[in-house]
Amino acid sequence: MTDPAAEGTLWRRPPLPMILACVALIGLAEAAGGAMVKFKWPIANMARELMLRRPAVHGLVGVREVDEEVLDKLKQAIDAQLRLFHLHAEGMGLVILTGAMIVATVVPASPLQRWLYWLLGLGALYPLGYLAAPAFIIPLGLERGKRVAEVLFWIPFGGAVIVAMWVLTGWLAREMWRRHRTPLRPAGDDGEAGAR
Amino acid sequence: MRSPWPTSWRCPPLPVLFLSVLILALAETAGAIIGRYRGDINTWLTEAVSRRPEVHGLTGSRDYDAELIPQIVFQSEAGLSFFHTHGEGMALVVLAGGTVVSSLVASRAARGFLNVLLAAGVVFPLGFLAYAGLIVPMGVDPAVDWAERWILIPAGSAVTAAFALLALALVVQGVRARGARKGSAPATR
Repeated sequence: MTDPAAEGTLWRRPPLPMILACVALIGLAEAAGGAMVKFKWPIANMARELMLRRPAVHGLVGVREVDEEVLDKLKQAIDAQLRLFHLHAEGMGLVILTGAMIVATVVPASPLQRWLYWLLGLGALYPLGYLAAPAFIIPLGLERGKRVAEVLFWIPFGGAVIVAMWVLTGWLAREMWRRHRTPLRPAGDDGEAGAR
Repeated sequence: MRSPWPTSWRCPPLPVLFLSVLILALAETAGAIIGRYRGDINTWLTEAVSRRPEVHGLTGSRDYDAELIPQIVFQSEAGLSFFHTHGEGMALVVLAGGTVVSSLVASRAARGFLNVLLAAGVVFPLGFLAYAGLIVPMGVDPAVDWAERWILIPAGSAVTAAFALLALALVVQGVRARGARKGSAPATR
């Protein structure tokens, strides 16, 4: 059997649901990027109206000069979350797709491979935390809203991808060490065709 | 020697895969740390810079130092952010480049050389991590100079050279393939 990690091995595609999740995430990121530009002011105005309805949550005191400064900071924070969604959804779509391609190509079909797919796939939910954060910030305030998004999205789903990447790193290191210790026999020794 | 233009996409060598995934894992971890501990990092950096007034040109004047210290801290935080973004990006760039090399470059020696140059790209983002860490003990300009001289310029140049040479190799292969096809085509009159 040819070494699945040998140079020149053909790339294998990941499971179709993972490909669909990555493509959907990238599509959503692109749409969000366009929407942020097209609907920048309607989004900001809507956020402002919703925050004005909750003066105690956002520390509004009823003095226009003070409140406008606070509202501007909050609007910028919400805008930043949407931008971070756009960036991270684009990036994570590519990172997860690439990671899944590496898993599909070099990790043999096994419980480890399935675990890695699941951990990477969960990472597709990580950027949604940036989309959800404004929905938490408006009713709960800036710090509490971000903390809820962190606990519900960023820590669990971001953590899943980080764990997957380190496990994959360790597996690749072990494979390199294994190949170094027991080099492949040249093609033809056992009648099998070589990798190329 | 292979056909110059195979139609299948091949994996880069295992060491290139390993280095790319390693820098991805480091960059992702750095992003999580920056996001979770931003406030603590900012506080620590501010205190660390304040403890080294001679390194950072602090005068002891409250108004002047209050303006200078956040600028220095910002530079260090920017280095960490750049490490996160460039680590993620360079991993994907190296993998894409390695895939093209493994799939389309016919010469084994050329593939080996190009893969070594590409692997240097994995080192490039570490330059940002280095200057983020060195700013506190060395100051902004010396830290950036050090990182540029020993990591950013050499590793960045290696990756740039890898892609330039890869493009050249593909052009040369194409010209040779066309010449070989013309040479083997039957003469018609």
